Amino acid sequence: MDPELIADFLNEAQDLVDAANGDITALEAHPEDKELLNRMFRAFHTVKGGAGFIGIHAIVDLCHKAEDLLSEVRCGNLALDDAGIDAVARALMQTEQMLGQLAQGADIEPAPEEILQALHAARYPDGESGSEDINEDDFEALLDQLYGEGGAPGVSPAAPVAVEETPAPAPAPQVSDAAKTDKNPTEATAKKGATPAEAPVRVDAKRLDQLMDLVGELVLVRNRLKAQPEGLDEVARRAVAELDHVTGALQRSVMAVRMQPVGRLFSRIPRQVRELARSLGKKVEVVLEGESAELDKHMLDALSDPLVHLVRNSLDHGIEKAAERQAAGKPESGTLTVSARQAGDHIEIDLIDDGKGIDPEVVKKVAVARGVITADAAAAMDTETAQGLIFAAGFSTREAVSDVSGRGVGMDVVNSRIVELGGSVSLQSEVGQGTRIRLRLPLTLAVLPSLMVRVADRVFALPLAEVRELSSLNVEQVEQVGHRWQLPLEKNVLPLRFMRGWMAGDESTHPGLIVQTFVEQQPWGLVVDSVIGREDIVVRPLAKHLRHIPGYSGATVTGRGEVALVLDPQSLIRAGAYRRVAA
Amino acid sequence: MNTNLKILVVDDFSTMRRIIRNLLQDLGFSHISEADDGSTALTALQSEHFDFVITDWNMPGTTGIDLLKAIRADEKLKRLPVLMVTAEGKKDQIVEAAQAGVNGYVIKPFTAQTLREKLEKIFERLEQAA
Repeated sequence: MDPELIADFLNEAQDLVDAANGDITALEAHPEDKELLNRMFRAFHTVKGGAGFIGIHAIVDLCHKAEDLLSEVRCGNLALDDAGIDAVARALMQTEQMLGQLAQGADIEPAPEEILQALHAARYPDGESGSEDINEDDFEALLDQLYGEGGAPGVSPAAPVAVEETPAPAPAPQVSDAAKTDKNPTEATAKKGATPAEAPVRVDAKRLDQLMDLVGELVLVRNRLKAQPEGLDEVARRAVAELDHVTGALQRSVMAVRMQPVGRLFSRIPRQVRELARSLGKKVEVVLEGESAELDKHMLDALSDPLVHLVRNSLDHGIEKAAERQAAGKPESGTLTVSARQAGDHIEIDLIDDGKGIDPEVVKKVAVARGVITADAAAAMDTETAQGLIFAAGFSTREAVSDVSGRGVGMDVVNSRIVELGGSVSLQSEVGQGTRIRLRLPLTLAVLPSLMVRVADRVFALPLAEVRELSSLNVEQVEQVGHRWQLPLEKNVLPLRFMRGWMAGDESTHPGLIVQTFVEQQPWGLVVDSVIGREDIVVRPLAKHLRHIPGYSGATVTGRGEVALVLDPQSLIRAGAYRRVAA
Repeated sequence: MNTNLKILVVDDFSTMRRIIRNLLQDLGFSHISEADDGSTALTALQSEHFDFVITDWNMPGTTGIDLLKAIRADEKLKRLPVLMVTAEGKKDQIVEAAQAGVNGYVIKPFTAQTLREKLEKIFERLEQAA
């Protein structure tokens, strides 16, 4: 089979499944909504059709059963009860899984018998079997009957013979009638078709990546030209200014092409929550907000797993069982709100649950038991820092294999994944009231506005989004508290990290500039030797064996052609903090 | 079979249109156009001459059966042969299509060979009726 055809099929099928995922939740609330039923039906129907030609019988069989059930329901011959909706939801999930296997070139096993049986049971509540199939000869006989022996529709007049043996489900007009009376739909449809919409063009994601890579290279060349204005004469300088402008516009246009609404990601959440809530014996409502906010396609894909884990975490540890909630005076059903909104060149995704919150004492106890922190450190720790421990490496037990992803993943993995994407995770939790986890992510991974700084004789890039303030430093004002340096401010203190010292491993102070940043809602000052300026950089991942070194998230080539490491304040501060605690 | 026939393939699923187009090409047809639902198909049929329509049954908006009825109701188009592509051969469905004036049906998935047989059968009957 033509691999391109399979790719096309997967593309279209995935769109259908995404849409159906959204519809299935709506269907729960309105199980008789014709429009929804039609759409769901068509999703299965279309996927089945395509899968048939590609020869994936497992998908055909599964989709056929779901389609058959929905067909009866949308015709009004059958009502869909909870078990029925459930069966359809599971069929949808199974279909998606199979499409995933197909995408990876894996063998596709037939769907689990229980799913097929559930569909069958919903379709034939009384255990009857379906309408019989017609064969070739029957059809020829039928045409003979309708148009006379050897007659053909549109050519021969319809014979005045009623079709007796099979009652048609809908009163189908005779051909001759249709010729006279069915004018209205013709006109209506003709009118509808007369307004041509601009047809979207499907483009392979790989080509977009290539385009973006090229734009990235162009940005670097532009940066190099901009970095050496001395060598250019007036004419060349003007041309560079124009090149600068056009490159920026090109970059934004290409980025816009890769943008997709987060709704694509969110559409899976209701179903996931449904499944999880059922298996955990909890009641949970999902509220989705801001689905139209857009994010780079790669970012969206990369967020899929972390989001699944965060949702799971909320249901596992946040939202309580109905009885427990009632006892606490809360509504029986918990609410998980997932919202997205754009904030400048960033997007914020919030997961808010009204569960029991994170008890800092419990977290501390677990962290001490697992050797993440010492008992002394735990005793001195404030509430917010303690709650933040759930993101610390080693906090989560990974023995439990989650049935969501098939592998056990802790919050630390979610956190490091988000940081890898150039984002940050923050947490706000009120015991008894609930938890809010906020993911803050750049809209795209492709080009990162950065502050270029110098430490010793090396250049480093700091993501501009992480930088709050620049200020000068008077070394004499710095205080030492234990192993920690801090700068007393009017109301509070600013903890400092001296970058030159940190990199040399001696943690000594030195003069420089303070780059203020926020780590877990806490201001921190990074002391660098000097600031070079702002630059749009193209981040390249570090080589595999360097990737786990804390403090760095990638590398880039500067306008002057130097290699600069990209600093990651979060992991930088954390690495220091935990090293100190462990010592 | 006359492979110079101009054929309109109607399906909302582009993969499916491509599959059917490939099969038709395998059979030697080269004048193939596509429409993505019943109403665009009808617009195409009214503005351009076609010899044959292959349409999917299930489409959003104007379905295959609606398209079929519209064709049979149009004085200029009513002799146009229509082959309906269906997902299954349920008797009641096919009877409905036959009553609406379909010339033939073919069940997905099908091979070029099956498609050829279906087309031959349709033209055989049309010749007989003429």
